[in-house]
Amino acid sequence: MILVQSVSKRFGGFRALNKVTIEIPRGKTLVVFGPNGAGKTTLLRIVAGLIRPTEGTVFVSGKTPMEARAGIGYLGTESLLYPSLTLKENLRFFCGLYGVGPGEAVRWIDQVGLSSKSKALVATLSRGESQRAALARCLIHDPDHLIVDEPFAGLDDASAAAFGQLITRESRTTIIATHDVDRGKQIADEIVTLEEGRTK
Amino acid sequence: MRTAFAIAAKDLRAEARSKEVAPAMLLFALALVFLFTFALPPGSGRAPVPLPRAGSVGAREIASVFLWSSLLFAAIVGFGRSAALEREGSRLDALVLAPVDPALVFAGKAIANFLYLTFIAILVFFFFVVFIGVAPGAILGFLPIALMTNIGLAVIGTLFGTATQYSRAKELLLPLLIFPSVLPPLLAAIRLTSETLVHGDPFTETGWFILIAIYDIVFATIGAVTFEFVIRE
Ligand SMILES: Nc1ncnc2c1ncn2[C@@H]1O[C@H](COP(=O)(O)OP(=O)(O)OP(=O)(O)O)[C@@H](O)[C@H]1O
Ligand SMILES: [Mg+2]
Repeated sequence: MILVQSVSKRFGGFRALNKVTIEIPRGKTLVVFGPNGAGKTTLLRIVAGLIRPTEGTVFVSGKTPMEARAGIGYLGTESLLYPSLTLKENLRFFCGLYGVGPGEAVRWIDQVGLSSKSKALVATLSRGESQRAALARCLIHDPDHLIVDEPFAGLDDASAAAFGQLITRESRTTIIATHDVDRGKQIADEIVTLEEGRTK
Repeated sequence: MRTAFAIAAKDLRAEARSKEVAPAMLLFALALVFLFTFALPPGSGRAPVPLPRAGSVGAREIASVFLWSSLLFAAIVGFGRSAALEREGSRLDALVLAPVDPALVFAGKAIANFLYLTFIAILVFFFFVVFIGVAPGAILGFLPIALMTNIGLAVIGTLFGTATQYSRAKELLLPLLIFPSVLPPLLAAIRLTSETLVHGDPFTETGWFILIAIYDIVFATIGAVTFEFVIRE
C-alpha cells in the first residue's frame, strides 16, 4: 500500500505539487495522467524517496520511502545504467546492491528479451533496448512496489505490450505516469489526472 | 563491505574501459618529469650533493615537488571523472535508491580513487627512476608514503568531487576546495619523499607520517558520516 498525504513540493517559489493526496491499495495499479509539467515526475520521485516533499508525508507499506527502499523499484526517464559497462555487468552490479543472486541478472536479461545483447556495452543499446534494460534493472529485486515514469516512451507496440505484462504482478503496488492514454487505461485499476500540481 | 568493493570494482572497470583519464595523466606526468630534468645542470640528478650548503639543492630534493604536483593534478582530474560517472544520466539516483549504507558508497568510490592514484603514483615514480637516476629500490621507501597520502587524497577527493557535481562552477569549485584541504598532508608527503630520494629512508621523520595519518582518519570519518547528505537532496 502506498499513501501520499497532502504532499506539496516547491522548487524555489514555484509550486510543482499542491496538496496531493493519493491512496493505492496493495496490489493495485494507479495510472497518473496529466499534461507536460503537471508534476507527475515530481510526484513519482517523491514516492520513490529521491526527493523530499516540502510538506506532507508518504508511506510505503507503513514506512518512509527511504526505509522501504529495498522493496521499491523505480524506473525513471533515464536508464541509470553505466554506458561503459556491458548489460550483464550492469545488472550484476545491481544484484549486488540489492543482495540478490547474480543469476537474477541473466534471468531478467532473458525476460526483457535482450539475451543477444547481454555482452554489449550499454552505450551501444538503442533507445528501446535501453528502456528494456532499465526495466530489468528496476525489477531485479522483484519489488513489491513499483514506480514507473513513462515506461512506453521509445518502445514499439509489441515491446510496449510486453512491458505492460512484465511490470504487473500479483500483489505488486504500482504507480505509472504516462501520456499513453489507451495503454494506461488498459492496465489501470485507478486513474488520477494531475494538472498544475493538483489532482483532478 | 562487499558493497563497497563492488562499487570500487565497477568504477575501476568503467575507467579501464573508457580510458578517459589515466593515459592523459601519465603523459602529463611524463612530460613534467622530462621538462624538470632540463632545468637542471647535466648530471645533477645522478651526482649526490656533496656538502649541503645554503642555497644548494640537489635534483632529488626538489624532484618530489614535481612528483607530487603531477599526482595532485592527476588526482583532481580523476576525482572529477569519478564523480561525473554518477552524475551523468542521474546515475547517482540508482545508488540512492538501492538499500545500501551511503557510507559504503563513499568507501567504494574512495577505494577506487585510491587504487587509481596509487597506480599512477607507482608509474610516475618509475619515470623518476629513469630520468633522474633514483635507485629503483627507493620505491620501498616511497610506497608507504604514497599509500598513506593517497588515502587522504582519495577520501577528500571523493567527498568534494561528489559534493561539487551539482554546482554550475564545479570545475572551479573542486580544485578550490581540494587545494587547501590537501595542503598539509601533501607538504608532509613532499618532505618525506625528498628524504627518501636523498637518503633512501622515509622513516627518519615519523612526525610527518602521523600528520598524514591524522588527515586520513579525520577526512575518512567526515566523508563516511556526511556522504548521506551529499548524495541525497
Ligand atoms: N528540480 C527542479 N527545479 C525547478 N523546477 C522543477 C524541478 N523539477 C521539476 N520542476 C518543475 O516542476 C514542474 C513539474 O515537473 P514534472 O517533471 O513533475 O512534470 P511532468 O508532469 O513529469 O511533465 P512531463 O509530462 O513533461 O514529464 C515543471 O514545471 C518543472 O519545470
Ligand atoms: Mg515527467
